[in-house]
Amino acid sequence: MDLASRIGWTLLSFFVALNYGFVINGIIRKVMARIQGRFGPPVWQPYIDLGKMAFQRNSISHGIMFWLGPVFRAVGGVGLYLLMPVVMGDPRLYAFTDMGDLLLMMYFMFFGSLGMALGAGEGGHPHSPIGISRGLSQMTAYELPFILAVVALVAQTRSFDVTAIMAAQQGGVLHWNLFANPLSSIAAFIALLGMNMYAPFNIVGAPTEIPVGPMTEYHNAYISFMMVGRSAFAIAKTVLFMNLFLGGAHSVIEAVVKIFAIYFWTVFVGAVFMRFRAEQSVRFFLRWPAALGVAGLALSLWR
Amino acid sequence: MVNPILLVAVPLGVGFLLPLFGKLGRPVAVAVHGATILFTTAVAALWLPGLIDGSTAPLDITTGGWSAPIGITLRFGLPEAVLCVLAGLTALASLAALTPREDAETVGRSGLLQLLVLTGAFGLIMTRDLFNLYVFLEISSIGTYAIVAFGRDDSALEAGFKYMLIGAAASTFLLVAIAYLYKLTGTLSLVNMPGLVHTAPAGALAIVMLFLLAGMAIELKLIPVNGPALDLYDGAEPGVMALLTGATVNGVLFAFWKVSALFPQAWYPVLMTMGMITFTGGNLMATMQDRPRRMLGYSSSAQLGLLVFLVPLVRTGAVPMLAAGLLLINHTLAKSALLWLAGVIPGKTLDDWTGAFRSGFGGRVLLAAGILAITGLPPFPGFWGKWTVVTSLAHAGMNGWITALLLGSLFEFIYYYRWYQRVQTEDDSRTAARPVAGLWDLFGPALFGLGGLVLGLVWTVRMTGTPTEAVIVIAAVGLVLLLVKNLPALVLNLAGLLGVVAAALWLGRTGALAPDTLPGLFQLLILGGGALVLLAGLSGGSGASGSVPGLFMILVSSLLMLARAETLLQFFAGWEIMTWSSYLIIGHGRRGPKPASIYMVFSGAAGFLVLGGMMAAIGAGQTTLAGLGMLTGSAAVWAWTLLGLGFLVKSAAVGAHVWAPGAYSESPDLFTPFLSGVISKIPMFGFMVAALRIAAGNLALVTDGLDPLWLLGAVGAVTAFGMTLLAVFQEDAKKLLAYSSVGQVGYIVVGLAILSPLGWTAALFHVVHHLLFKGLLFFAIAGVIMRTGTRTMYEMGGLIKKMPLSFISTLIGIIALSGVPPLAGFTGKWLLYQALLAKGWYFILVLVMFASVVAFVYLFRLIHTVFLGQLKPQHRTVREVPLPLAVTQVLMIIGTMALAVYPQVLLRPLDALVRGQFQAAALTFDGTALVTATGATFNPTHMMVLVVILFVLMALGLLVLGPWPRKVGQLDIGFAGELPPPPQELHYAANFAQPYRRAWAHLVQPRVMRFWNAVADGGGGAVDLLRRMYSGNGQTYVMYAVLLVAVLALLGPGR
Repeated sequence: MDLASRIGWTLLSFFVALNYGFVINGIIRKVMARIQGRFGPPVWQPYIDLGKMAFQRNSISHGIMFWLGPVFRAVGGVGLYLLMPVVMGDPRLYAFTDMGDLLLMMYFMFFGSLGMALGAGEGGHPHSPIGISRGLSQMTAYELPFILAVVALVAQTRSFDVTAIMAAQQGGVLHWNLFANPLSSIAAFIALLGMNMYAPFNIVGAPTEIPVGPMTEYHNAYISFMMVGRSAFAIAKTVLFMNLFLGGAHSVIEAVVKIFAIYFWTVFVGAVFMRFRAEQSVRFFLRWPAALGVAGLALSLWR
Repeated sequence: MVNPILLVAVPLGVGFLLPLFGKLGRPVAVAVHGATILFTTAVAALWLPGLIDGSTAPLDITTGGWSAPIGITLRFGLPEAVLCVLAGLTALASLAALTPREDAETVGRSGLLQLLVLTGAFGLIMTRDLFNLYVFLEISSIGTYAIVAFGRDDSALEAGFKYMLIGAAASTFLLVAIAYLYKLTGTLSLVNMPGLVHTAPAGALAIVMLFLLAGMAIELKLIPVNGPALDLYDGAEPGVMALLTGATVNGVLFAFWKVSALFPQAWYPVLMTMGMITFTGGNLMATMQDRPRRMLGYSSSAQLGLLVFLVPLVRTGAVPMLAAGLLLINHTLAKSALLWLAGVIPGKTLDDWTGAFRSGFGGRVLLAAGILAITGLPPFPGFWGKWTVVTSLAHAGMNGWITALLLGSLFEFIYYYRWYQRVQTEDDSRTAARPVAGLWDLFGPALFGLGGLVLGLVWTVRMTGTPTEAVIVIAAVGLVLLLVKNLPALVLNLAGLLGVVAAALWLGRTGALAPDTLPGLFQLLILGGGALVLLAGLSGGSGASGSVPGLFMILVSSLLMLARAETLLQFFAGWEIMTWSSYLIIGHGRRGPKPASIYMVFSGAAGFLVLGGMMAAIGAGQTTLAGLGMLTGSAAVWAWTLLGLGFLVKSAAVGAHVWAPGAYSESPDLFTPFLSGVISKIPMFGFMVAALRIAAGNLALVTDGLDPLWLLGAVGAVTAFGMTLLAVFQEDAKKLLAYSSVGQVGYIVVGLAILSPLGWTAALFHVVHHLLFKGLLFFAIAGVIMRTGTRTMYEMGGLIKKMPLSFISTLIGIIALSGVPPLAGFTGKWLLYQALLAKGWYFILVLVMFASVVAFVYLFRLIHTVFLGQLKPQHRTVREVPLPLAVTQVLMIIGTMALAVYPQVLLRPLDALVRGQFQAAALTFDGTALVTATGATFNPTHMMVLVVILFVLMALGLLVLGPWPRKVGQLDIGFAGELPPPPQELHYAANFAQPYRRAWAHLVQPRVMRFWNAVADGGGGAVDLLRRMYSGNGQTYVMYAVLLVAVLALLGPGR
């Protein structure tokens, strides 16, 4: 495939994914509202928010790094999506995945958060570093079960190549790592709870305490940029989980369903749990999920 | 040639006339005294050239022309000539040191006693007659009592009396032995007696030897009969003790050498044991001393013990006499110099030494030289002596003795460097009362220091070959810079920079700097890192002035020597010079002395472990680095274990990491990048050229059980993780980076331990990349410290507005370190993880990946609390760093970015390098993509392009979409309608990792520190008990002498 059509397909794929991300966000708000006994906003509310934020007439800046924060965030989200193979065997939906492997994806995940944190830091509002401190603590902690799970999968295929891990899961639902390596998968899916930052792991933003945490000083167009970044990032992350644990997808429809299922796992858990304090989540991730991860890795080495 | 009999006759004759000359006036007495010493020294020295090249035969003198039993035989050969010259020079310098303290009244009498001591020493050295030897011993003893008691100090008088008491016991023992020997052999000539003594009945001989040994042990100050000698050092004038060290002590030792021919071989183990107990025990007990003069006494006792230990070995030919000679010369030069310097400081406790020799020229340099020499560091002669001794012991398979010797040497490090720590400590309250060394005080130390240096350099060339011109140039520039250290920093660093550049061009022309060889790559790193430090030094600041640039040049030259080493000795010599030069530089930090001495003790331990490993190899017949690959069996296992442990300690691997944070953070700010970027990589170089050569295939003994390489990798991974975690909790920017550096070296250890082409590529890539990004971080922080005057991060904040370049440096540094694409940190991690996967070390893989994630916490904290958040009012006037420091940072940014965009610039030479090592390729290059042997692909260039394109697009999008933002003031933040508090309260920075601290609290207790403290306390307590045997009571001391006889009688070979 020549570069031009590759870019074209990638843009199309990204456009669809982004919109799916917005729709999912809308659904989440609706679902949460219903759980809490409210009527809730319409499903297209995120589009309204985006438009409203993007076209506000004023904006302030605390400095160049502050201004670049949302740019970092958006690059991180979009870039991560561009590294994901979305539908198996369809090179049109592989974007730029040949640039690297699972390691590249895992480390590029930090790009947006790091840049965002730097930008927020220059804002000078104390709530930003408080949120970042909590976020960093929590993030590093949930990485342990996630890394353990990933290494367990990698140990089975002896490759960091995502397409190889996907290929190894073909031949039936029971070949999915979710069932073939349940301990590691559980560890990873618990880690996902932390990554998506719904309750019990939503101390980072901590509404009502440190209003919106790291983003406190951001507003208007910055927020719209962050929404784009976040949506792309959420979809990309979920696609990664789909590829790693749910055998990938063979069609766009399958991808849509699996993404929805994976994402709503964190939403439903979030709807029923109380919030952990930062050190509680750190301790939590380093105990049971990590233990499960170790067991999963041991299991996959033993086999 | 002048007859050496005059050596005895002239000083004896002149000596008794000196009080008369004293009546003519002080200058006359001193002139006559000095002329006498000069004359005797010249007489002995004139013999030296002929005796050295063998053109002159040793001279035997028989007094009165009578033959052996009746006449007295003297001999004057090479050892005698050397010892006499040494004694003469010591006497001369002691005269210079002591005379200013004498008045016209006493100068003549003092001179008499000094000459008497000298005469006794000459006699002891030359005589070959047993009874005559006894006579000279008595003359020396009388001289000693008298000259010691001549001091005005009561404690000197008491010490002299105790010395006389035990001396009487010694005389009795010796006289009994001599009488019996005469009866048994019918001769007193030491030339004839050894041949006859074996004919004597065994029982009688045993008793004779018992008394002879006991008597000599007292004279030689061996444990346990060295109590009076210790009191003597403590009480007497140090200048007098220097004279005794250079004259009498050497004389007694040589006398012992002569009578040792009488001992049957069965006694040799006893002699060696007593000697070694004195060496290790003396040094051990000295560690608890807080009185430097007494400490020097223990040290003298210990050094003599070492020489006594060597006597039987030299007799049997196991150790060359030259080695013992070097040790003796080294001890004389160094100890006398230290004693003369001690004479300048009036007080006797360590406290009196705080900040000593701060003002005045040369005192501190000479003190440092003396301490380096006496602790056996190169290039001083003691190093070469010790090396020869240890290799000889290794050849003889005496590993137990090697262990004891190295242990004793380590104890020596502890107290000497603690002493020097006190000297380096600045205490401004004492400035007024601090004595300054006068010209005459420095005469002796300078003479002996220079002598030691010259002799040592001659031996350096002799043992390791002539170093390459580049090394000589850099070292020479270093020495010159030390001499002109008061010039401005600009001049010093510029000269150093020119020296390094010239050396680099020179080496580059010879092709020595090829980056596809290990030595070439490391020489590039050393020269490059050195040039950057000197470039930054042009801006002045911490670590750019005084003696630091000179020491730094010496350090660079030693590193080059090490990187170019082919033999084990060259490697070790370079290693030890590196150790002391970096130690001295660290001590120049404001609060550097204490961490520096801890650094020195750990480095000393590392050095002795490396030496032990080398001895295992040398014992098996391998003397080159390449030869290590041919070791097999237990020699391979020992060499691997000891070398590996040594390198791990030096790289501050977990367990031994306690030295690192202090040494890194308290070292001069501009030197820390080098410490982290280059010196911490030297143990890695050691692993590659030494330890891992062994591991290549010859560790079959242990590979059945635990894989030693896996163990090494695990240590590396635990270090990487543990140090990262500790870095998270630091409030001090340099400490944070220090722990981070140690942790990063852990990754390198992991890569090396994999021992595959890819693992080594990853490790070497990280070696270079870490130099760039960590150097960048340390330089950026150095600039911040220079401008703000603080290292505590929460006292800063918001500096991005004032120091944008430093912010960019830090930003690039932390992204590179964190491993976030598209910078090269990711390339390094990717290589390492692929290698770990291929090797199948999954748990290590998990641990290092997790460590790299935890690193985000401290990295963000570093950049946020220093550069982001709220600017403090006191920093509103802060400026960007000076130009040279800025240029240094820009250069390093360029390097870091080059590796990020096109890592093949480094990976291709590394590929050639590992191909040479493993005969297999690690990577193939498909355009700009990197492909491993297992087919994994990563394209750093494309990744960079993608990120840049996305970044430009998004930034344009925000520009177009959003309204042009209005700049607002620092405190214009959304604060719920309230007026924000001052910046100090808004900057959330202290205890930034609070959730971590709460969650991990139980894991990050300073257990290791507690362990080492317990070792120090427990060991110290035990030693303290031990040293109480020296009660200071003369009767107790005499009782020890009697007990020694009893013990020898019960346990010795004569029982």
